[in-house]
Amino acid sequence: MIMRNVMLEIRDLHVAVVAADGAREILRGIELNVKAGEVHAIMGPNGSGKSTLSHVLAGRPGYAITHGSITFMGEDLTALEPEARAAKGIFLGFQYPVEIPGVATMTFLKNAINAQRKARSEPELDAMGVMKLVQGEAARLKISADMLKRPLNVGFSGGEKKRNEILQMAVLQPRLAILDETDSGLDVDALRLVGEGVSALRAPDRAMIVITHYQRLLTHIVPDFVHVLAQGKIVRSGGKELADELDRAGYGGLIHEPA
Amino acid sequence: MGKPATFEQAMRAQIEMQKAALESAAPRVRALRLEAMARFESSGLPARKDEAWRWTDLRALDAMPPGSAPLTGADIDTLKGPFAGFDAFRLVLVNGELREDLSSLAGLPGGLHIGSLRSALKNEPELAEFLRQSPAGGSAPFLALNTALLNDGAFIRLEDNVRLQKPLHVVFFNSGANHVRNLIMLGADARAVLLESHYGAHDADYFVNQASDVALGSGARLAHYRDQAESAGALHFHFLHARLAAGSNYDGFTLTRGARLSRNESHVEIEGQGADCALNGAYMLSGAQVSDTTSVIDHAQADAKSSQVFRGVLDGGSRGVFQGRIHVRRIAQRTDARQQIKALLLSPHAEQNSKPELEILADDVQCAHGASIGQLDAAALFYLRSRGIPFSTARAMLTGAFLSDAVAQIRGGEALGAEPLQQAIGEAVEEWLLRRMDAEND
Repeated sequence: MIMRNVMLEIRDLHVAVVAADGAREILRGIELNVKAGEVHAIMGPNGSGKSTLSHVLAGRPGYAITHGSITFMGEDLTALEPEARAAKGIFLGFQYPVEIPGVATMTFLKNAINAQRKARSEPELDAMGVMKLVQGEAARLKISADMLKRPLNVGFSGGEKKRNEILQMAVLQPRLAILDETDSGLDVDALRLVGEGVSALRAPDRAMIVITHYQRLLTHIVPDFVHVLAQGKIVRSGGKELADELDRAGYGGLIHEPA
Repeated sequence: MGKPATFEQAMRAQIEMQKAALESAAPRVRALRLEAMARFESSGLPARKDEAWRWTDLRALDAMPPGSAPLTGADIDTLKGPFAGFDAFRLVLVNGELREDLSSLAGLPGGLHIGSLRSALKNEPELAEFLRQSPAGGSAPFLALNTALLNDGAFIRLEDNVRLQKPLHVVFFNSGANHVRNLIMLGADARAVLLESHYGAHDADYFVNQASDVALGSGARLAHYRDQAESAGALHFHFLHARLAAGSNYDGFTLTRGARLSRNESHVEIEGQGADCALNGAYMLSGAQVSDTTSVIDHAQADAKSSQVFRGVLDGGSRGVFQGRIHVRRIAQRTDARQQIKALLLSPHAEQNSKPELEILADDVQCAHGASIGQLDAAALFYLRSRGIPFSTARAMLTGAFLSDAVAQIRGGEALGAEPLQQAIGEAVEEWLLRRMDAEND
């Protein structure tokens, strides 16, 4: 067995969501190790905390870590702003990509690419360099030049938005990609396109966490590990066969309601 | 006799002094100014309890120095602002006085007159008719003061059917108090793009009380874009009175980024059927800046269109005011009038007051107005940051996007198209955003 360093290490993570009416605990002791090259699927019913986990990893404001730790490449991730996490190589594919009128998709991509390069003390790319980088990936994902000129995600169909997320992942080349319900709202063709796009980005030095409700995305992105998240905890882990089992039997048998 | 205690007393004293000098003026000009003097003497400055000024405190006027800051060549030799790069017929006024040495008016086409209003009034005293007071508005005392102390300004006249192929650019450079007055007249079917730059000596405190009268003949088209980038200590008052004949088209945009206190008041009278008027603008304020945009659009004829799109960004402890009145008279059937003001508060200490007013007396009209005040969208901010874009850049991108709604309204004209104009204004917006980012990161 090849020994690989752990890229992401989550220890006994407890997270509360902060609202006007007080804090509510969503994650209740997550344990997870992700190594370079691995693909982990996190499955679970609605409300189990899947999206919260992805948001907390990306640094979205509004959550309080009440206990535990998240270590990424040996560094305490929780101390970093979202932009610093991105520059370190964390990428979140959004379940609901945000529409931003007035910011052209291409302008956004150029800003993102160069902000990360700058943070890593790499030379910034000029407009031509960015264009070259984007065009090839866009073609693969069937994203037209016209779409790149349009305001970010504005008027994009559900499938276009998700393809645009994968395009961003492809040009930003993250170390750890967290894909939050990337399959939601996709028809069969779009699902295949997105699945193939993600699979093409698998690499020995890159890890992925694929969060999904259904098994169908995992026929395109075959995971190394499958975890079941329920009521804020990982209640079961296994290989890819666990996803098939869940698909047949549902989550019912795995989740024990607290007394 | 001691120094006058208040701005109003100083203005009354100036009026008194100028009365004697009026003896030599042409009878029509003298009548115009005497009438305005009497009006200011009886009204004085607006009081805070005056509804039109309830959000704008005029006490800052009392602290204004009466004279001008000394100018150096460096102040005025280099053109600044978004319009400086355009090839244009250029008129430069320093403290309201025409400076021919700084202007570039070579090769004027036939049918275009551009120059000093003072000389124009000397040659054609009947032009004074166009400077008569418009129906009373909130800024009436300032307009009366402007007319009472009338000295000079820009005079632009296009004869019928003259279509300029090059934009006109008027630069107002200020370092001291002035009451500059402009008269812009387009004959039937004439077309022009008129750009205005307003800026001042670095850090100078001064008061500008500017008024412009615009008269468009039938079918005329005027694209009129202003960049107000006065010094940080300045007070800038601008009164626009526009009269639109049948089928004429006025496309206005004001970018407000300078001055400690500014007021842009516009009165548009739609005097002919089927006229089309756009009054748009964007303001970007920080620190203790106050900017007041007040408009009155009087639909006095049928089948006309008016549209107002304003975006305001307020940072620090700044304050924005928008008061927009649309008046649709009984005969102004099939009027299409729209007004939309959106303000973005970047700081918990910033404030916006919006007051739309519709007075509709005709029954077959389409009128819509909307006013909103909000903050940056947290979800959008996080989305950009999650891609590695730093907080201050993300905020600047979203703020720029918010303002671009207003900038996109600029239509341009034959002499200069929408694209270069939108780009030039967009760059001025970006410059402001970058400056805010730097201030934040310091």
